[in-house]
Amino acid sequence: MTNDELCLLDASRLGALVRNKDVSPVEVVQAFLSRTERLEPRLNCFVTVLADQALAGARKAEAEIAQGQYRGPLHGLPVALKDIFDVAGVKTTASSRVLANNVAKADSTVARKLQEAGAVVFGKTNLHEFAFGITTNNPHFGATRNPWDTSRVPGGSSGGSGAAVAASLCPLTTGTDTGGSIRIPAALCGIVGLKPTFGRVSKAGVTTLAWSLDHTGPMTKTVADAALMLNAIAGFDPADPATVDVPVPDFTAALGKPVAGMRIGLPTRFFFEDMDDAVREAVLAGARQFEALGVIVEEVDLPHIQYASAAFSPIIQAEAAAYHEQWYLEHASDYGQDVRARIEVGRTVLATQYINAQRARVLIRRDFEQALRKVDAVLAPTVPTTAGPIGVESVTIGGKTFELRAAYNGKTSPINLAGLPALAVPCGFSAEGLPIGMQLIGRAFDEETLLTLGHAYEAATDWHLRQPPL
Amino acid sequence: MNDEVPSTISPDDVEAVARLAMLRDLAERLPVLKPQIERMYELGKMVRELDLDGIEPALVYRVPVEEGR
Repeated sequence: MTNDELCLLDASRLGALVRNKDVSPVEVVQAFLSRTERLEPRLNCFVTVLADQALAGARKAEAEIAQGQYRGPLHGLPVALKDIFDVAGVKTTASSRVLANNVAKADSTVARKLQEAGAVVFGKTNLHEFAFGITTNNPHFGATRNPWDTSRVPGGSSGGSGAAVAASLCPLTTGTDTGGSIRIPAALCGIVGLKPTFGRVSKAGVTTLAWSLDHTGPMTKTVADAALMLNAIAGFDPADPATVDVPVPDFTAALGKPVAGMRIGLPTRFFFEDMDDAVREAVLAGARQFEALGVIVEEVDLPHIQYASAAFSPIIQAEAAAYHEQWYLEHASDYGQDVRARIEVGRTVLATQYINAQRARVLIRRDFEQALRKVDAVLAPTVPTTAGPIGVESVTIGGKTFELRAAYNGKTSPINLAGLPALAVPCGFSAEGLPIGMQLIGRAFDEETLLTLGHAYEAATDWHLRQPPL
Repeated sequence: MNDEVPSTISPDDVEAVARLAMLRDLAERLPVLKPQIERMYELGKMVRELDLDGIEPALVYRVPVEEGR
């Protein structure tokens, strides 16, 4: 097997090769380093590639496996962390000049858990500055480019992670999702992204964007890989008061369960409005595929969904402004123009507006909870269009022009308000060959149902198997 | 009272002043931010259309475990 053939495998297959000693972790890491060295100049997925550290970690994993100390399916596999997850001794820049020299003193909980599971930290991926945007067009570390068309954005904010997985530079990456930042790049890069339930995965050691909206989760090639990664990182963490002490199941046990007779809801309003025809058709084709698998598809109503952006925007901007206040007062000119403006607008949100926005999110969540009493999951588009050109900050959909950020996160951010789990999976390609994604939204702490449905869909389709023309 | 000063100040005026008071370098930044600030103000008005009676703000973002499985 050539290096590139190795890199194109998903993590589950790679892990099986490592477990069976058909390939060593050192060979795996070397293969990904070689591919990264070749393609990174065209894509700019990484802020930091930890070549020496990754090779040392791979040698350690190789020795452990040789001695019979196999840790599990992630053992010896490279993982890249969005550059807002702390890794001890490594810079966490948040892809900002403000933190350009910030070296983490300790591991984030997610980084620690992944290493305890045997994963090898491969690098830190580029992001939209401070995760406060959706393009990963970064003024300090350069734009990350979409592997399917390098003149286009990968989405964001976890754009480096999304592009790295899509380009097979790393099989496993982490992302954060405050308004869609895992699911948007997953959709635009044609990979899988899982935003777990709020409180399922620790945020300790992760740079904050907005406390009450931030989620951390896996970005992978397949649903099975996302389950493997969630197994490693989920769970209550005393260091993160937002985590919830609920049982953590074996998420891989959800894979392969029958889906016939399960129910999926298609929202009657908002989610299928203001979107490209190609995206609508792809998501509706996804619904028909579920029907072919025996899933019952029906309509659901979310009566307050049109108020989601009115609740979301003041919350994210006010919380971000509060988090950034000291840095902003001291280093305003170090921020990129777009992020600086968002922080400044956040400073103009009145306390009354913020509090009422927080109250309004309860109505959004209740709508989803009501719908999810009838159905097992809600199916919706992830992003209403495909990846746009780098540097363009608006998009025209159906003859109407939208600010890009509002268009990209409009259908993902309501789920952050609700705190419910959402799994983004590839569901098609546009005529230009650009990926299209859809999201399954589930009940609180019921990621298993989403993984069951997503895995069944994936097994019946081949969208996730297509490779970008690199 | 000076005739040029309005005899009443509307709630909207008060809100606008309160928001702008948080901006540093106001003259320089306002042209850049004005559309976004106006948008934020409109979003605030949208939320006022909702019936929020009985919803307390404390920990609204915590997902109730009993609503899960």
